[in-house]
Amino acid sequence: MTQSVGETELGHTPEMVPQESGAEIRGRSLWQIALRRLRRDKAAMFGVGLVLFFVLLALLRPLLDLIAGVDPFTFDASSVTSAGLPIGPIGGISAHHWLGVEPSTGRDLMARLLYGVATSLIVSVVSAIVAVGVGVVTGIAAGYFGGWVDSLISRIVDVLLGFPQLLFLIALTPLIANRLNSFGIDSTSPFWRGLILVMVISVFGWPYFTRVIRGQVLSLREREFVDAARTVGASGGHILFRQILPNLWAPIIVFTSLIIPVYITVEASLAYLGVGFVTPTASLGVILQDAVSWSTVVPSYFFLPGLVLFLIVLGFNIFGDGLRDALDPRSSH
Amino acid sequence: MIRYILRRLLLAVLTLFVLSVVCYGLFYAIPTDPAAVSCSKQCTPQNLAGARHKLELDIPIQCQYLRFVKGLVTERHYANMTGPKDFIGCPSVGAATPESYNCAAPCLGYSFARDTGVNDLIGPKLPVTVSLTLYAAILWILMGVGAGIVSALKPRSLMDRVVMVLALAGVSLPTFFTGLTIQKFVVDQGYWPIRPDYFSPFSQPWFFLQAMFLPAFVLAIANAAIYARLTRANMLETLNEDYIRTARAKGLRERRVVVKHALRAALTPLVTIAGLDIGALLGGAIITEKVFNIQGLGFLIVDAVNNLDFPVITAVTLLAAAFIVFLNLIVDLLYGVIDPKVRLS
Repeated sequence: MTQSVGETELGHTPEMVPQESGAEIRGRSLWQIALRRLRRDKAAMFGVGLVLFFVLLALLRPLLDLIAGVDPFTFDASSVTSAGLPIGPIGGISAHHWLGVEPSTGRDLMARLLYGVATSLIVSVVSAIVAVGVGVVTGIAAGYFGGWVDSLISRIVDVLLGFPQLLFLIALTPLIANRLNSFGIDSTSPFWRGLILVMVISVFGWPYFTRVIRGQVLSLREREFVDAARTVGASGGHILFRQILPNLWAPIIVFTSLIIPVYITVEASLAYLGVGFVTPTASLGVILQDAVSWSTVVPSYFFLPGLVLFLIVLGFNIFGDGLRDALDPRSSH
Repeated sequence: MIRYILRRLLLAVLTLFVLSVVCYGLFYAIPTDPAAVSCSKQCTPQNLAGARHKLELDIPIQCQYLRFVKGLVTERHYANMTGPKDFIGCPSVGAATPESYNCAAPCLGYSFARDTGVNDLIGPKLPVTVSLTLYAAILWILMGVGAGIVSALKPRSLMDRVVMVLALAGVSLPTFFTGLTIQKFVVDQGYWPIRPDYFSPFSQPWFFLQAMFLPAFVLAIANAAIYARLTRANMLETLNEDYIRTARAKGLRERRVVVKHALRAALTPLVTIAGLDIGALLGGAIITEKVFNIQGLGFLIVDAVNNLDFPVITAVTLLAAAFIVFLNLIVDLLYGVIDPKVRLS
C-alpha cells in the first residue's frame, strides 16, 4: 500500500498487468492527492481537529471521570443551595466540579456533557453508517441491475421521500417505545432508546443516498474502463466490486461526513420535543432540554451544552466540506 | 407533457395511499385503546363501549380505513355501524341519530382526545403555518441569495470570507437552540415590542410582520446559510462560462452581465430546492412553532403525539405529505419553463 506509483509499474511484467491493478494505481494516487489537499486546507484541518477533540473526549470519558472523581448520575446536594442554585461562580465551578453542576440536582456538568457527547456521537455515527450502507447497496442494485429492480427501488425511494420526515420521526418514536414497553422492555433505557432512534433516523435517511449512488452507478456503468473489463470477460462481481465500487468511495465518505452533523442535530431536536433520549440518560439534546427552564437563571448551564453541540456540528461540517473539495478532481484549490 | 403530469399525479396518489395505510397499520399496533383517551376519568365498561361505538372503533381496522378514505370524498357521519354487512364484511351505517357527528367532505376524522372534528382543529392552524413558512421563505431567499451574490462577485475578499464564515455558523446552529435563545433572552426580557403570535396578514399586516418576525427569522437562518453557499458556488461556476465572457466581450455593462446572464443560470437550481424546502415546512414548522408557542400545525402534531391522538396525527401527516408531493410537481413543471435545457417527458 505504501508503494509509489512508479515502483508498482516497474514491478509488473507486461502480462501481469490486469485492469484492476491499473485502476488501483489510479485510485491510490487520487487518494494521495486528496490527502495532500486536505492537509493544506487550514479550515479543513481545524474541522478535523474539532472532530478529533470531541471523539477523544468521548473515548476518554471514563478516565476523565475517574481523574475528576465525578460521574454523570450522582446527585450532589452539597453543591446547590436549598433553592437549587449552584454554589460557586459561573454555574457552580469548583475544584470538584470543573464545569459547574446541574441546578437542583447537583449532578456534575462536565461528566454529563462528556456522556452526552458520547451518546450523541454514537447515535449519529451508527445512524449514518446504517443509512449510507443501505443507500449504497440499494443504489448500486438499482443502478447496476436496472429493469424491475431499479423500478421497484426507485418507487420505494420516491414514496419515502414524499413522507414528511421530522413529523414522522416524532409520531413514530413514541409508538415504537410503547410497543416495546408492552413486551416488558424498558424503552427509556439508553440502549433501547438509542436503537429506536437509529432505526427511525436511518429508515428515512437511506433514500437520499440511494438516489445519489444510483445516479453515480448509472454514469460509471457506461465508462470505458467498465466496457474494457466487460470485453475481456470479467464477471459481474468483479465489475461491481473492483471497477465500480472503488469509484464510489469518494462520494460515500463525503456524504457520511456531511450527514453525521445533521443526525446530531436531529437527535438533539427529538430530545427537545420529548421523543428522544430521556433523563437520566445524557445526550446533548437531553442536557439542553433540561437546561431550558434554567436558561436565564444559570445561563452557563444553557449555553455550555449549546456551545458543545454547535462546535461538534461545525467541526463535522467544515471537515466534510474540506473532504468534498479535496476529493473533487475539478476543484481548483 | 400530459402523460408526464399524469404519471406524477399517479405517484402522488400512491405516496398518499402508502402513507395512509402505514398510519392505520401503526395505529393498529398501539396497545393503548384510543377510546380510553376519549372517555376520560369516569370510564365504566359501558362508557368505554359507548365511546368505542361512537368513534366507530368497534368495527375491523380495514373497515375503519375504508370509512376514512370514503370520508375524504363524501360526507361522513359517525353513527351506529349496525347496518347489514357488505361483501367484504364491513357493517354499513345505520340511521343517523341526533348525537352522531356529521363531517363534511373532505372529512379527516374525529379527534378522540379533543372531542372535535379534525377538520375544525386543522382549519384555524393552517393559515398560521402557511403564513409563517412563506414569511420565512421570503427572508431566507432574500438573505441567502443576496449574501451569495455579494460573496461570488468578489471571491476571497474580506466580505466573502465574513459571509462564508457566517453561513457555516448558520448551517451548524440547531434551530431549537437559536430559537430558545431568542425566546428566553429577547422575547421573555421584553426586548421585542410584541410577543410572537399569529395575526392575520390580511387584516393586520403590520402586527403580523412584527409578531411573526422572530419565528420566521429563526426558521430562515439555516436555509439562508445553505442558500448563500449554493448561490455563491453556482454564481462562481456560471461566471466562468464562455457565454459570460462573450457577453463581456461584446461590451455589455457588468451589471447587466451579472443580473441578466449569470444570475438567471445560477438561480435555476435554487428553484427546485426552494420548492422542496417550502413544501417540507408547510406540514408544520414543528420546532419553531413549539419554541415560540405558535399554534400552527407543528404545535398541533406535537400535542397529538403526546396524547396518542391518532386521527389528528394521520390527518396532519397526510396533509404534510400532500404539500410535499404537490410542491415537488409544481417545481418540476416550473423547471421545464425556466430552464430551456430541460424537456419533460
